[in-house]
Amino acid sequence: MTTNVPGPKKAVPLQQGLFHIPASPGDTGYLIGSKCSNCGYVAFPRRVVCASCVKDDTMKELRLSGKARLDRFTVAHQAPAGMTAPYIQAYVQLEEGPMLYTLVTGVEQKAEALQLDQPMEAVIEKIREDEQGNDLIAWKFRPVKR
Amino acid sequence: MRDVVIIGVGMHKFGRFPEVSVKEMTRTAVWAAIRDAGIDPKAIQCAYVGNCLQGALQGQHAARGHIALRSGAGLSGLPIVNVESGTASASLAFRQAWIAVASGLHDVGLALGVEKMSAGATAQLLAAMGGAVDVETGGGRMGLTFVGEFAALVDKLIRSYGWTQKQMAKVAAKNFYNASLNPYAEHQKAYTVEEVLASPVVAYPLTRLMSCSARVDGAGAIIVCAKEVAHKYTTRKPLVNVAACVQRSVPFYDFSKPETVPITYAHDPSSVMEAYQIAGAGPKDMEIVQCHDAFSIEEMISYQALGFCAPGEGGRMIDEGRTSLKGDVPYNTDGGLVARGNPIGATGAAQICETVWQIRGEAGARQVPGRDGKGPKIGLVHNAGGGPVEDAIASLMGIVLKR
Repeated sequence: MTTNVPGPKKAVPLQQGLFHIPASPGDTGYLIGSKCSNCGYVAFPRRVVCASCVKDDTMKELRLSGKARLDRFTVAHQAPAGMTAPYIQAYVQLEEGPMLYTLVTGVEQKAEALQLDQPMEAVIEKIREDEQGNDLIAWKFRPVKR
Repeated sequence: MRDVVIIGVGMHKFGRFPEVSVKEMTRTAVWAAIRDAGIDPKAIQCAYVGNCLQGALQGQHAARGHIALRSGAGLSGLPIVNVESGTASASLAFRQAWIAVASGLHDVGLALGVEKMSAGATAQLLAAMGGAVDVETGGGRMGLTFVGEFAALVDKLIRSYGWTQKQMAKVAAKNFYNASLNPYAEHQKAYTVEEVLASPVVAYPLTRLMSCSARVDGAGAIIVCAKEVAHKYTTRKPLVNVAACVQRSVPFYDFSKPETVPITYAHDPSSVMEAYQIAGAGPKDMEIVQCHDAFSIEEMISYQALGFCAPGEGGRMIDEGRTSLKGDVPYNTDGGLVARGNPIGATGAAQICETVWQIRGEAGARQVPGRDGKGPKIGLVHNAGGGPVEDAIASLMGIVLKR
């Protein structure tokens, strides 16, 4: 007789190639973007064709610093499946240029916890459990400790 | 290119109608437009059908327009093209019909927008809506919601411009009032500013009554004709001219050069700016505007983005009542997306139908007088579709209609 016992949890990245997942306790995760060898434009997620100068095959892989500025945020009081309200939805601008959506960690999920334009840093970790019960891994940002 | 006119419009009421099929809504809207034009339906030479979600929600993944028009409205044989462009699907269908007629290929074209969001399970609907952004790298699986996206922008604008949550509530209350005068609107109740503020916060500072409903059904149809031959097909109604009909896709913004990125970038005006040029008319000339307000804040952003006020003056526009039915720039006279309703693939058709009714002086209790007292001579439609593609909305429409 077999029973339907769930296997060990797997770590599943949001999408392959967007970031490096820490492989050991001493390792750090980072975002992977791309930089145009023709015009210098930096894209995240990484691209093959440069959307700025519109050249094909000029985008070279770039390890991003993860340093960013908090551009804007809201506290969501209704959550889609897999999320728990209240939670912060934010946009940060990386020091290399790209603007991206992110969850925020390391703070209480309330408006008073953040200030616009404050320095933020990326962490690569579990953001939630996915539909199969695995750990969905992606980026979050947290305020830089002073 | 030939001049094109609108000769007939029709709608199926927006709202939640679980028992009414896509075919039935198609029949209601298309035949209302046929009767409005007083045209022989066999004279319609091509059709473009806007729909976004019937594949995801009902499994009708292919040939939607062909099935809806044949089995719903009885139209056979003519070329039919299915059009998908998120919430801009119907206005893009309209543009394709306009191109077909303006080019000289056809004399008479039909544009339909139809959507049934009451079908399917909630999880199906959420997944389908999440599919309006890049499913590989978009924020949907990381908890990003459309309302959160705009709430974050609103919060920033409030801090930058000193706008208030109450001003946003005034926009919503104005539009609920307009919708209460529109028999085709989803909401028939005129909520007050206090009621809008008291409704639950979805994502601060946006409350539920500042956001469009998630599940709305509806349809709208527009029949266009070459102006030079319109008299051969119909003499029933005043002709409404298509002065400009523009689509743009998401522009490129380089956020490393912030001075090149307008604060309103999430409500990109490029399609409307091009439409102004083509129509030879600008914001000072527009006597009525239907804008894309899935959330009430978008209307306040729209005031400055489309050139109706200086940056930051959106709060004053609403405080001074300039965009109400009695104001000098009536905005969203039918209730807009929040109050008239936003059945994704049908929304643009409603915006066009409303502009036509207003220009003809047929808008009933919500009719605006226009500058000469005979109804507005010229009106603007701004419709946007698809979620953020890296930096802004995917598909952008700008349409100018005039007497």
